[in-house]
Formats: sequence, C-alpha cells, structure tokens
Amino acid sequence: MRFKNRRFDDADRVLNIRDLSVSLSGGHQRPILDKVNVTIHQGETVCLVGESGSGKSVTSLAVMGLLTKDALTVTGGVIDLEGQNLLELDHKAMRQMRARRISMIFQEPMTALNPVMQVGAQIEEVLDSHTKLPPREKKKRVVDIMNQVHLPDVERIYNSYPHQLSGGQRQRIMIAMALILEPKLLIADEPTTALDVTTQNQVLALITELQEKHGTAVLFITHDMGVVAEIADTVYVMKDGQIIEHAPVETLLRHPTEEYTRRLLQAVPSLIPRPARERNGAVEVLDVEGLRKVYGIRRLFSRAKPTLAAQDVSFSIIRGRTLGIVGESGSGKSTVARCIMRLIDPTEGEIRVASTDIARLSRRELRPHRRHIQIVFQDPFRSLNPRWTIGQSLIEGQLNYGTSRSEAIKRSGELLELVGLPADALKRYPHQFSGGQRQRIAIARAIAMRPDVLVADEAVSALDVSVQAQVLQLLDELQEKLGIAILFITHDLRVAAQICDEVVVMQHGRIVEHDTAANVLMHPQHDYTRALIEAAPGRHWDFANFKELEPA
Amino acid sequence: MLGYIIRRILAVIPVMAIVAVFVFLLLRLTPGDPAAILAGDMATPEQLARIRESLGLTDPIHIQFINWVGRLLQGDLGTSLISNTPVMSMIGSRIWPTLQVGTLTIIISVLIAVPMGVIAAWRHRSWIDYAVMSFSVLGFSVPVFVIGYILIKIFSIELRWLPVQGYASPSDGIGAFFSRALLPCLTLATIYVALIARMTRASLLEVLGEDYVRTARAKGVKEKYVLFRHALRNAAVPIMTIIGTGFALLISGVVVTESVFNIPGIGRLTVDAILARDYPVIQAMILLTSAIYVFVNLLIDISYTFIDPRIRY
Amino acid sequence: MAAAPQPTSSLQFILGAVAVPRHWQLGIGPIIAAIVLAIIVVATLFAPLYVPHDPLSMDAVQRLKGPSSEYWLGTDAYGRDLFSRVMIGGQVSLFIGVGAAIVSVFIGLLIGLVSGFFRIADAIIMRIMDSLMAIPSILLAIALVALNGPSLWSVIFAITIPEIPRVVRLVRAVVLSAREEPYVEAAIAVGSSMPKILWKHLMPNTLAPLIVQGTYICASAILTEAILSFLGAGVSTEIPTWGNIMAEGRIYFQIKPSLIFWPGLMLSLCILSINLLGDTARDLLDPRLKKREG
Repeated sequence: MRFKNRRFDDADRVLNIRDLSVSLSGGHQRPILDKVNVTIHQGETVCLVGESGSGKSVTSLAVMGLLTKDALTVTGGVIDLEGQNLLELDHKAMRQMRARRISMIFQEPMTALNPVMQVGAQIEEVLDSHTKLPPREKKKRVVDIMNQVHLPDVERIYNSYPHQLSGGQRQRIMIAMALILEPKLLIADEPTTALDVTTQNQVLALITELQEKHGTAVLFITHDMGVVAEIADTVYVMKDGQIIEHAPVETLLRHPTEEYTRRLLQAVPSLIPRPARERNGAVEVLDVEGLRKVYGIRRLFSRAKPTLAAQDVSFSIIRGRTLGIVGESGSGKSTVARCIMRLIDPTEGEIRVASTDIARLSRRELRPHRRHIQIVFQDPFRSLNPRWTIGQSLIEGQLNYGTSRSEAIKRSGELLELVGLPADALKRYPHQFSGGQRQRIAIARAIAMRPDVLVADEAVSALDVSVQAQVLQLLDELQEKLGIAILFITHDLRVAAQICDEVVVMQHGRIVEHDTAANVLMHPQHDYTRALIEAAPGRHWDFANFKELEPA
Repeated sequence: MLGYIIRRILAVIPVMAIVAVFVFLLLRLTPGDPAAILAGDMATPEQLARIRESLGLTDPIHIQFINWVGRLLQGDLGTSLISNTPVMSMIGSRIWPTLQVGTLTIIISVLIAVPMGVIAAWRHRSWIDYAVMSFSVLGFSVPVFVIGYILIKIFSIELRWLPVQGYASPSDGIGAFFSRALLPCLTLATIYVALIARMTRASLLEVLGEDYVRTARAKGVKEKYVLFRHALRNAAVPIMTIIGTGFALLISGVVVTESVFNIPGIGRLTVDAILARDYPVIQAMILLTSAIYVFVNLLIDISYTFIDPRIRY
Repeated sequence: MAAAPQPTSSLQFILGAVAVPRHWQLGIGPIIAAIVLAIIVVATLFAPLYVPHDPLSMDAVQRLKGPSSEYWLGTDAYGRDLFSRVMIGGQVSLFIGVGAAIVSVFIGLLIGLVSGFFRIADAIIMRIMDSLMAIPSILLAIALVALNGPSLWSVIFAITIPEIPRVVRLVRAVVLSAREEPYVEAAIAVGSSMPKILWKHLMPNTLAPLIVQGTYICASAILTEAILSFLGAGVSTEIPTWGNIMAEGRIYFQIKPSLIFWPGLMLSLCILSINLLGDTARDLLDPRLKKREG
C-alpha cells in the first residue's frame, strides 16, 4: 500500500479551526461540536472520519456558514481562513467567500443540482455571482473547467439537465462548479458515497488530480476507511462532536493510539474471504432457473422502451450456506431478490422453494409457501411498522400460520434474546431503538417463520461499520445454529467477503461470474469482476491488523 | 413531449364524457317526477306536460341520452323553460362581463399571491409570515358575499370612492369599467389569493430545504436569485396545480359575486335560473363550467413540460 | 436508545411513533381558536335554554328595530329577534358542517382504500373522481338542491358529494405511498392476507391526514351552506341558519347591515377557529401535508 507521505509543515496554513463549538439552538443539551480543532495546509488533503452523528458534516457546514439558522448555532471558537475569522463576517462578506475562497461538494449529486436548470448554466451562475466577465468569456471558462473534469462531449452536456446525466457525470459537474474560481479550500462531504465503486475511484482520482494542479487544500469527509487510505494526507477521527485523534494517514493506520480508532479500524471487513462452510449434504433449498424480468410496457404515444432488469439468472443455494449477489446499482441484484420474494412478478423462469415452483403461483396459492423464504431489507427505519409494538410485528407472521397467540408471544421473546435484545423490548415501539437494533428485530421477525432461506437485501448497507460488523456476526451465528441458507445481496465486496461462501457477480441484469467466494475475490475470471475488485479503495491494506495485506 | 401532450389531451375525453353522463343522470335519477319538482307545487297538468316535452322526458332513457348527447355535440345546450330561448344564446350574450371580471381577478390574484407566499416562506416564522398566513386563513373563513358587502360598505357607501353596484363594458370607457370591476375583482380575489399564497409558501418552504438550494448558497449566489431562480421555479408545479384546481372556487365565487354587485354575467344568469327553477340553464352552466375547468387544467398540465424538463414521458 | 416517554396506545395508533412531536409547542393562536370554538358550540347547543325570544315569532310592529334591551341585536324585516335567530341558527349550520365532514370522510375512506389497493378498480374510480372534481361544487350542489328540494339532508348530500373526490385522492395517495414501505412488504412476506394488510398496516396511515381533512371539510361545509342559502338554494327559509339569516338580510343591506354583519361574524369566527385548529393539527401530525387543494 502506498500512502501519501507528504509533509506540510512548511506549507501555508489555509484553514485553522480552533475550539469550534456548535449547539442546538436554544437547547441546553450536550453540544453537537465540542471544541473542535482542525488545521489544513495548502495542497493538503485532510480526512475527517467518524460514524454517523459524530459531527463531521456539521463541522463542514459551519465552515461554509451554512448551518441551518434556526436549528444550530456556533457557540464558540474561531474558523480562520488565511488569517480571516469567518465567524466574524457578515452575510454579504460570507457570501463572497463562497466559491471564491472555499467551495463545497455534497454527497448526493442528483439532489445537489437544480433539476430544472441546465448544468452549464448552473456552473456559469458561479461566475455571474462573483465576476463581471463578458458572456463569451464566461462560456469559455465554463467549457474549460468542464474539460478539466474530463466530461465527454462538453457541448452536449453543457445544455443537459441533471437527470440526463449519470451519477459520476453529475458529481463532475459539482466539482467543476466548486473549482471554477480556484478556491483555496475544497470541502467534500462524502462525495463518493452515493456512487458505484468504479465511479468512486474515478472521482477520487479526479479530485486528487485537480488538487495537485491548483494546489487546493481539501477537507474530505468520509466514513469509509478504504477511501481514507487512498487519498488522505492527514486523518482526524471524530466521535460525539469531538476530535479524538489526528495523525498522518500511515501513522494512524499503523499505530492508532486511541481505543476508539482501533475498534473503528478493526470493524472494517477484510477483502480476504472467510473460509467457506462445509457442504453438509446437498439439500437445495432455493433453486432459481432462467429468471428474467422486464419492466415497463409500451404505452400509446410513448417512446419509453421496456427495460430488461434481469436475464438468464440461474443459481441455487444449499442449506446452511450463504450465496452473495454482488453488483453495482442497476445490475439487477435487487430485482432478483424481489422476484424471488414474489414482491414483483418475474417475467419468465422458475423459482423453486422447498421443491415447489413459486414463480407462477397466484397470491393466494403463494401464501402457504411464503414462510419458507423470508427477507430483511436495507432501511432499518422503514422496515418496522412505526405504529406497532415490536411484539405485534414479531407475532404477525406466526399467527398467519396457525400458532396460538400465547405461543407466538413466548417464542418472540426467545427470538429477541437470540438476536441479542432484552425480552421486554416486545412492548416497545420501533422509534425507541437504534438502527442496528431495529435490524436485529427485522432479522428476528424473519427467522420467527423458521424459513429455509433468508434473503438479506443490502441488509447492512445503511449501518455504521461497527454496527455492521455486529449484525454480520449475528447472521453468522444464526446460520450456525439454525442451518438457514442466506441469499445476501450487496454492493460491498468487503461485506461479501466476510459472509459469503459463494458469490454471483451481476452486471446489466446478467450473471457474469459465479464461483466460490475465494475464487471470485482472489482469482477473478471476468474483466468486470476484476475491475470491481481493483476499484475497491484501500484493497492492499489490512485495516483490522494495522498492516499491509499479505498476498495469500 | 408531444406524446405527453397528446395523451393529456386524450385524457380529457373520458372525463368530459363522465361529466356529461353524470349531468344527464342528475335529473333522471332524481326520486319522484322531475317535471313536477321543476314546475313547483302550483303547476297545472299542461305546464307539466310542456316541461316533460321540453326536457324530452317522455322517451325511454337510452333514447333520451342519445338525443341529448347528439344535440350537445351540435352545440345545443337546450332551451330555457322560462324564456323559451336557446340556452346557448343566453350564455353567449352574458359571458363577456364574466370573462372580463374573471380574467382581471386571476391576474390580480397571481400578481399579489405569489410574491406574498415567497416572502412568507423566505421570512419563515417572522411577523410577515404570520401576517400572510393570517390573511390566508381569514380569506378561507369569510363568505364571499360578506366580503363583497364589507367592501361596498367601506368604499362605496362610507368613502363614496366607487359606484355601489353595476357593470360597465370596457367600450364604455376604461375608467368606468375599472371603477365598477375593481370591487368585484377584489372580492373574488380574496379567497384565490389566500389559496395561492398559502400553496406558494408551503411548496417554497419545502423546496428551500432541498439540497440544490444549499448548493446555490454554497456557490455564493445572491439570496434573491436563490429564491426566484432556484426555489420558485422548482416550486412552480404545485403552485400551477393549485391555480388550476382553485379555478373551481373562482367559478363558485363568480356566481355569488355577480349577484352581490349586480353584474349581468353568467353567474347572475345561474342565480336567476335557480330562483326560477329553470333547470336547462343550470344544467348547461354545469356542463360549461366543467368544460372550462377541464380546459384550464389541461393547459396547466401542458405548461408543466415547460417548467420541468423531467416531464417528458 | 432514546428514552422517549411512552405515548398512550390509541394516540400512538393514530399518529404513528415518528409523528409524535417531542414537545407540543402551541402558539397562542390555536388556544384562542379552541376557546372561541368551544364558546360558539356551547352557546348554540344550549341556545334554546337562554334565548329571550322564539326565533320564529314575527311581530309586524317591531320590524327592523335597532338594538335595545328587549332585542339585543335588533330585529329583522319580520320583527323577529336577531339575537335569538343567530344563536339558534348556529345549530343547523354546525350540524351541516359536522355531518358533511363525517359522511364525506367515511365514504371517501372506503372508496380511497379500494382505489389504492386494487389496480383495476383504481383506473375507473379515479376517472369518476376526476370528473366529479371538474364540476364546480357550488353548481353541483345547486342542481342537487334544486332537484331534491330544500331539505336539510339534501343540503348535506349536496355538500358531501363534491368533497368526496378530495378525500378519495388523499386516502389513495397515502395508501399508494405506504404500500411501498418495506414494513408492508415484510407483512406480505410473512404471509398476511391483503385485506388484513389493507386494514391493519395501511388504513392507520390515513387517520391523521383524515382528521385534518375532516376539519377543513367541516369549515368549508358551513361556508357552502351559507352560500347556498344566499343564492336561494339552501335549507328551507323557515329554518333559521346563519346562511338564511344573511340571505334574508341582503335586501335591507343598505338600511340595516347588521342583519348580515352579526350572522356573518359568528360564521366567520366559527370557520376561522376550525381552520386554525385544522392547521395546527396538520402541523403537529405531519408538516408535509398540504392544505386541501381547491
């Protein structure tokens, strides 16, 4: 692993945050930011890492002067940009700093761009706001920066609307917008989190390239240690509104001093697959054959073409093993999961669950077979009915299959203990639990049906790494105990490596590679699989053991 | 985009067809003898027979329907039971005052309401926001005719600035037209302004929380451009929608306002028809106003394609 | 784990956990509105116990008198006591408002649930609702009253019909968005039947918006009654309602504006309070809910 081992002691200090504190407006609670100190030099990339709620985004918005006025207030400290305290500037002066001296790019390029304005005009607006250039000069500058961010076919994209561009192109537009006036400081708030892994790699490379070209200082906010390893010069670790540790990237990854940092790093899943489970017997509990799903029928006077979401998808799972489906967004992996659950109707193919083909059954015929296959969804905040107690949610399915109420309640209590929650949780409501706890409850609801197969559709993707590790651990234990088969849908190769015995790689609705996890991840055959693995950030580093990854 | 427009236009057909069926059935499915209801308690058998004949109630119902639709398609809206003149020509001679007052009202309302809503949203929770919201709730709560009488009392009777009632055509002089149209327009505009200002504020508040507004601010765009170029344009679709659906309120308001201010428009025609139980006129007014409502909303639907480039399917 | 106070279960059921506000910050406005509305409701309900005159008894000698100790607000063109008429008249107006709200919410809920869940029914129902929306409600009500006679129930019926499409659209929109929620899909996965999912998972989502919508319909129904009476298409003129009193007063508007002013004030105060309470309920229950459209 090659880190950026550059020294910045002699470089100019661009941003110096001293003892910055932020609180909820009018609240007397614990501060959101508590005496935060960050220094960034010219040309340096500082990564601010932490789990959700640690205050990293609040820090960046405070620097931009964009904190929601009636929600958050700065209660103390200094934000020093090249000798000027930003907190002392009035509205107009602060407005003039933005885009000229400091710029920001955001996580979700789709929502961050105005949907009803052409992207060229949106870039040009920066020049309108801060310069008095003649129109032709403006256009020239815009085209120039669009070329610098390597957008293809600049003339066409200049006149395009955001929804006509890909996610990566949109983020390039954002970067162009942020850098057109060559600001001293670029703040990037999780700029690649919403992007696919291959696109993420390109965007990271672009930021690095432009930073070197213009000598920009970058404050990069991320939760992803892999990204940190790739791009950081210096790392600041945040927890509960405080900076708990900061160091040059290699020092931090090799010798973390704080216990919290160590735990954070140890929770990062390794890209080296865990040993596969034995194939005890060969009872196929799920067998998918020639699955195909086409969305959208042609409508009168409409040019919308039907989209092929999945084609020729065939695989099977054996009892007690885990099959992962890996792919980027739009690869069709979730479509496959939803077809198998019969939440949507497959266009063609067979889905055999407990040796019955359920692909063609009507809703009514399907119901007796539903219990054999259960699902856990991605979003823990929406997968439990907010009006129901946990107990009501857990017994719902059991009652459908003839279990008596008292029996179902008793079993639900046992299940809660099995997933590591107290039995008295039965009487409480979902909003009283954290995301990770809710995901445990969702798992309990699924296994309450004693299914043969558990479908986990991005089930840990919305969780922080430390929680993610615990939930993966839980699934692993449950599989040991119950011999359940798991179909694990994920975009994250690291997660796949930790939980899967076999991996299916999907691209454009088709399976491009299907083999044991060890073979797919260590000796990929298909070009696309190779590209995916090469794009995984920090793939040469063994985070959990604070050292280089030893070639297997 | 052309496909979208054609589909929107075609979608009007079933809606108008169902409206027509509904209006047709309204009279025929009324319990009891509709002719007797319309003629009133004092009717002679001859009068009843004449009404039945005039409404074509003697034929079997499906024949009645076919004849009725056939005449509708030829532009025949029926004949008044009272004056025996074709309803079409009655409407034709009374529609101009209504159109003039109505158009003026819409223009005034949009020009007042949209800035009101924008400012209220921009200064969320300030006194100006509360003032706009109070006005808007008040506008929903006071009956149109009470507003009309209050305005007459203040401006015509007490201050004597404007004539009490009546109507003058623009051809009689612009001054005369405006001095008589002003109060009816303000009366009508009250509820419309309340509605539009409220929707503008609500949808703008929602849009101001969007990421792209934050992006615009992060670019250092001036606040007035953030509001009008970024936010208002994105909030435009619900505002346009409310202008369209609010059109129904405007039509109701016209009926009331014209009788308060003695304007000889189609609203007065309707009220006179109610008092005289002239059902063919009422029926024609329902059909006409529904058609206008559907047409206005069609135009608004089509205008979405110019506001929002994503509507292209 | 958030140690939020345990909400009572029925409230929990209507609001859903996420919607329960942390602190019920009410401004002074809604409190005043609630007090005003309570006074109006109590005063009209108990009006027969305290009004000084029979609201129907005419007295040709006492026509169009000004306020006096005998006639607190004066008399109308038939010499009837205006105060008694306004207080008693509120009964019918309020009854129409509440009646129209309950009937339209109930019918709209049933149609909306069916429409939101059965795709085939949906297409037809929504076309019919679009058409009903296209007919201006006052004109439809006028036609219905003209045909069915000026009875109380035909007025309620006439006010209810045009409100139903709005309720249907609201319920359908809530059901359509709720059925995409993972917890509904999870219920499908654990084998719950469609009617059960519709009633136990989806229907509760509509309660909070329906309460808000119901208050708006109530306010708008009282207003519509007044307009119908004003146009001569309302409840029979023998029954005093706020609308009727104003309709009879319009001829004497230039001589004695108080015939319109007092019932108009009562009516407006009443509607204003209901609307304000509706807004407050909406802000508390769901800030994203918009004011009824049109």
